[in-house]
Amino acid sequence: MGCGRIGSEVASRLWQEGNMVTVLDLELENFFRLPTGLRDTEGATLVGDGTLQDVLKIAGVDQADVFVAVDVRDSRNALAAQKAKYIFHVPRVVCRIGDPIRQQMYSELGLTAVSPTQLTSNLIMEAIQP
Amino acid sequence: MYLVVIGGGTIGYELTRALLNAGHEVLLIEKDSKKAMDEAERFGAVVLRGDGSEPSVLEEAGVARADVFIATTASDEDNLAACQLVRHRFNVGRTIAITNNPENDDLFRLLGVDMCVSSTKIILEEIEKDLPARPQLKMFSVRGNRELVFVEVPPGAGCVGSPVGDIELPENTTFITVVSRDGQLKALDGELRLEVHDEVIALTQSDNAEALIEVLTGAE
Repeated sequence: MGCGRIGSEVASRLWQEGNMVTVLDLELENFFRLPTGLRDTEGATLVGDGTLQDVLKIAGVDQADVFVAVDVRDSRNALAAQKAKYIFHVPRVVCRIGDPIRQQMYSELGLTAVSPTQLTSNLIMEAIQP
Repeated sequence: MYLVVIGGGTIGYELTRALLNAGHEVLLIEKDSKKAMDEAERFGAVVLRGDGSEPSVLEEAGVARADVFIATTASDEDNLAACQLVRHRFNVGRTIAITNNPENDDLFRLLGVDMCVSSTKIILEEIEKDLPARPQLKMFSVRGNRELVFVEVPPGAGCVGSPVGDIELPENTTFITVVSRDGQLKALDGELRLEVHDEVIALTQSDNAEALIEVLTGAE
């Protein structure tokens, strides 16, 4: 869910590794970030709101092994990820939570939450420290 | 009591007003600066401009000492995130969320929101109160393409009052027994008259089950 820079990158890598991938986004034009081969695959893209159960169902989340929520908004990712985990029982759920405090909370609540803010800051700190 | 309300829409605004009038200490958090300014003009220093799903804003609001937290923004995901934060990071005892989409109620409760209020649901429940109750019904498939049907006779059903012998049942339907409202088995003879809330237990062919239910529950 979310075909921004991170979403499109993760989706194309997974697809290149031979996985079946469905990419969800609110805007059709965001799919142009995806490689043509993936974009042209039937069922690989779906325009819709991934925080809604109907849309998740159409995307086949009930069959999915992995659900990745990388929309730009933390709250949307948290809601979609928790729906995937608790309603559709997806075995592996990963979400992007920019805010480090919320990222830590969701990790403690059992979601795999990744904070780009935290990771980037760590890398920058490493780069500037001798 | 100290109550923190996030979202200064119609619900948040009216709620703040009512709570203040009732003598409570209230803080209203609103994201939009124009709205927040208008509300500050109306309510005074109890309005904080900020995103109520941000930990720093909640910290500034002193949410940790709140008795009740109420999330009324137009976005369900923000309401959930805020309720989860105040519960797990600020240990607030009671969280209430507006759900704009009723499908979120169950999940929110599962995730620890104490109370969900969905206007859609409230209106639906009000409408259903005015509709006749759905007939109570159970069915079990039985060998030979038959159904064992349990039906409660609803108020207003056309079959009420007339002798069972006069009721036109679908083919191959047998009444097994009739249980009255107070749990008594009724004698099955042609003179038996069905009453409201009697439970009829009957065996019928699968194709006729629907017709049988219609006979027992349909209006005259």
